[in-house]
Amino acid sequence: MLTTSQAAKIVRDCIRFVSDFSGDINMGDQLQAVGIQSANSQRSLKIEISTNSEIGVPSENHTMSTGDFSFDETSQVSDVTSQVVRKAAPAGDETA
Amino acid sequence: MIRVLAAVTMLFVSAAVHAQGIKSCDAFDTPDHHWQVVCVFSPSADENSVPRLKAYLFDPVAGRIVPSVLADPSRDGFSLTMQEMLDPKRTYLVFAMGTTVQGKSSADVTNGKVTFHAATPADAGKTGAASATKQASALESVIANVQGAESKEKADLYFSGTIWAVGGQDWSWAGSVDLKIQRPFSVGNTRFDHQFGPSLTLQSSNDPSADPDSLKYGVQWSARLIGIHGRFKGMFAKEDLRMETTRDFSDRNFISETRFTFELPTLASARKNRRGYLEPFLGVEAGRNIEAPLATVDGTGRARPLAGVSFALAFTKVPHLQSISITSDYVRRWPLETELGYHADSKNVLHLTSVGTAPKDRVTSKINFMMKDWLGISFGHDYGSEPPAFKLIDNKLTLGLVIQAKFGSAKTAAK
Repeated sequence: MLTTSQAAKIVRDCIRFVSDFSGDINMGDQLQAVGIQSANSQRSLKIEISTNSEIGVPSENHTMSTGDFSFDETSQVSDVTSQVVRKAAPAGDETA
Repeated sequence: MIRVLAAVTMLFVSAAVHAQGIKSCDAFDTPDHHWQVVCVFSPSADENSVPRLKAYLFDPVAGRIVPSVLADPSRDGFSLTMQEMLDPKRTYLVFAMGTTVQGKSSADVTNGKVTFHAATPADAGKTGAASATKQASALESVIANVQGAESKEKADLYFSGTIWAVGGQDWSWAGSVDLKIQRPFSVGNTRFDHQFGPSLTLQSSNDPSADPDSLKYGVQWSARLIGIHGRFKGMFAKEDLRMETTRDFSDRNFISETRFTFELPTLASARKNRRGYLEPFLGVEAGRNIEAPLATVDGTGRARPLAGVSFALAFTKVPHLQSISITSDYVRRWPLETELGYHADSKNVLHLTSVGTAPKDRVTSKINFMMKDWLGISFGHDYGSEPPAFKLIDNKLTLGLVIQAKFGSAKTAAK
């Protein structure tokens, strides 16, 4: 189980990595406002959150799948953060 | 007692004020059986107001606040470490107060409330977490996860149909349909994100001047072959095995399309008043004709290198407007084998419009002027031709009214 702070940091770091967005990222921002607009950039965001060992969920010793996400460019940053909180499971947890 | 009164008061106040809300609350059964409730704000609270944050979990059936300890408070949310076991079959309410958003005090910016349904510990063992989301049937789950898409190119399911009747001695009906279905499934959990799925695209009309007459169906695979390296944002590959045919199946090609899309840095500004992207792509369509309306090209090979670009740009906070957005998709095909361009008239007589290997263009554009978030007008432009008939759409212009709104739900009301 990830805390809100951990999940929010993962989401913010991955958004910046994918989009190079330099401004403040607020939980209420739509993804397209912070550079996650095209279908491919949305897909990259899912991949980086799920698999990036330095800034993604694995950096907190958790796992999740790209298929766990459901968002588009009009979704808010908080939507993605909620999904990370909800779906990330501790690594090595065979029941997850 | 004071905390209970505060909780009840907050329940009434929070229903009327939605400036800041709790996006979600999820309950987790930790290994030591101390339930943990994790909540996410939307929007974020002011950093300097976080120390004043207070949050409670309220049991409306018992009419009491369940003892808990606030943990991990931040501008993005908080956790509650419960001091008692929670009953996953019950509905609990979480509320918070004390934070501010953009300097507005909590008297004006009230935290919202969230109802959550924690799963049973047995379910938690299966899922790793007790989710606030209701357990739903597979169909309900699919319906619940349906989201709007900004354009046809981005949609998994797209349908646009029009019918009209023309009076006279005999009424005649006409119509057009634009349909797209694709349902990719992720396979494995790697940085390539392999996705497979069926695809279907139909563009047809019995208005002769607006009929691409193109039906494509098959299976797709896609993956991100190259990841992000600095300013280069990755390369995606797509392989599409399909039949492309006219709607009466008189002209059919079996085609394998390989396409590589290159991701460039997005155009989002730090002030969030400008955003956009540019995605160039290269590819090739190769295959064989199965059946053609002319014997000379019947059974011949098909090979078409292609290149194009998808483009989007939007400006917000524009004077007198909410936003202006432009989207455009362009593709040019270079047939290496002789292909026909033709259309059928009302008596089903074919008229050749092109023969040979001349490049074929296709461009679709749309510009939206949004007066409000939910109201605007759109202008569209459509030009070019699609295989297999390569029937030319000669500058079709459209004008439309855009109304996009969503009705309140339990989820949105919680904001």
